[in-house]
Amino acid sequence: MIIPRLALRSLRNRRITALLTVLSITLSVVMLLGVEKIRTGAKTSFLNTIAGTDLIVGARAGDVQLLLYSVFRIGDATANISWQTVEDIRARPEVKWVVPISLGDSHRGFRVMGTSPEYFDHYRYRRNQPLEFSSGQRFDDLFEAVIGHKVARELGYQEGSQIVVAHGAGRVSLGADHGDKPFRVSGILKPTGTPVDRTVYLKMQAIEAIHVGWERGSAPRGTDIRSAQQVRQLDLAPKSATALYVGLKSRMMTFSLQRWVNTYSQEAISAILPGVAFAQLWKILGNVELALLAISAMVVVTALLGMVTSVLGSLNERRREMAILRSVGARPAHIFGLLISEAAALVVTGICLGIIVSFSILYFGRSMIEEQMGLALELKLATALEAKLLLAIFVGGMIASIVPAMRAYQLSLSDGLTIRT
Amino acid sequence: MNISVKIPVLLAAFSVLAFGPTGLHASERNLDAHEHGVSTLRLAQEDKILQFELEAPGEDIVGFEHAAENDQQKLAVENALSQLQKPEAIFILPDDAECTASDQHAEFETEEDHAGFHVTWTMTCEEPVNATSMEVRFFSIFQRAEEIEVEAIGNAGQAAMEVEKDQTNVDLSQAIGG
Repeated sequence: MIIPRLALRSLRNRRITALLTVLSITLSVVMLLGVEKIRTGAKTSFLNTIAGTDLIVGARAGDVQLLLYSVFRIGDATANISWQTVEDIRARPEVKWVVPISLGDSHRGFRVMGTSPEYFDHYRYRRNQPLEFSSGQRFDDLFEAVIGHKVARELGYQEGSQIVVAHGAGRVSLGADHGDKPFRVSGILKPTGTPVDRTVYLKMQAIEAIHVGWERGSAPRGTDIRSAQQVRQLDLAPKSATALYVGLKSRMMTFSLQRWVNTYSQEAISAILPGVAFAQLWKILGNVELALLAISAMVVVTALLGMVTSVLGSLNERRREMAILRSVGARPAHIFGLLISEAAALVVTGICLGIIVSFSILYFGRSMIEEQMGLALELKLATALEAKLLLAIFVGGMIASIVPAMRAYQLSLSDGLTIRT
Repeated sequence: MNISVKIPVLLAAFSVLAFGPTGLHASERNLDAHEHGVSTLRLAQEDKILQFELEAPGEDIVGFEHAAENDQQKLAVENALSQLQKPEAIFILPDDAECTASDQHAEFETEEDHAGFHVTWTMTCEEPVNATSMEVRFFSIFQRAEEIEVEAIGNAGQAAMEVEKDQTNVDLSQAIGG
């Protein structure tokens, strides 16, 4: 037991270098664990963006593209679905519910989505969690809007605020506001960590209403201008939808309805299983995931190299110390063991501190991270993969410390009691 | 936009640019495009009932994609069908899920420009909560096959997995549950 004790004493003697080495290992462990937590957290949040919807139907396109615009409001649909087709799908015996969505407008940089009130019943995220209101309720009147948590927070809106929806999806509306028809915020949704937080919801009919007079593609002029009151008198039944969220009576019918939709001949539409499209999308991301992990692995390697460098650098000044140890009976193997023990102490301390620090950050920062970034991180000490990574760091550190230990071993062999320089 | 959403999506955009739009044509495949070496297994669970549907290109199973033309090819198709009529011995659910197979149906479907095997079957499991993994003997039986794309939906959600030739097990826990 003399060697570990000597190792600790020797480290205490050079405590500044030792502390810095431990610190760099700690930081690299925190980074590795942090990246791993964020990676898995992002993946779970991402995969849990939508649940409870069996199929999403849109204009015929790639699965991932359909998923991106219908769920993430990223990119645009190649075409809309005509209302006749929507009714055909709704009439299918397998179908329990259909929620149409209509995209294409924006409000100060946030996407506006037309939908039916049932959206708030059927949209689920994170394993079947329904949407909840932090204030107010779903829209009822034609000129009412429901807004996501982020929209309310960033724009300072409250229940009852008046908002103006712009035509098109750009941030700048170029004077093309549907300014004559302001909406009243009827409700604000609780944070979900999904694109819901950044969406302004209107009724399907409201989307039709704000486009009355815009049929020619430019702002209505002269007699085309109608007041909100006049618009209410018009037939505002939706003529098309961008995509449909479909719920089925039985999951067993999912594949057969998907096949029916994909071979529907009257209109080029396709149906995706959201979970399957998510998996496809995540597969494309696999490379990037790997890159993230590789970067943090490199940080760990750098920290271990730093440790080897500092131990190697100290060897010369410690040759006298080694010689004294030899004189009191230490064999070269003991010198080797001493240096390995020192490295082990540094690495183990670094890893332990790294675990403690990253767990504390997670424990105390979790709710803030969830609130700020909508990223739900798991409060787990270490997953199997993390345990493997930590073990790899330890083994790596041990292997790396063989280099200075071998050097010390050789020096003590050749030096003996007298140091020849 | 939330980080959770933004990062993956930015990464997706980046990946599509960097790695090309691979793997994005699954919907076409559902229509009639088929890829040699790739079979599709669809699996839907509702409580105790698991329904399976396997579509395998003829090339993967018997080495040709047209109606059997000679005795040798007929024999090959017959042999393959006799194997595929017991799909529960090719895709094996764990013992403790206590499953029994029924309604096995296998046929060799030939169309103008391609032919393939279409197999459907049902498993009734007393303990579906244990049916979260599945042993795959497909590749050791049909050595020409390279990959199975699995789409699974069940009590736990929807999932898609790729099973490569060297894998003997597939994790179904994201989709199948009690």
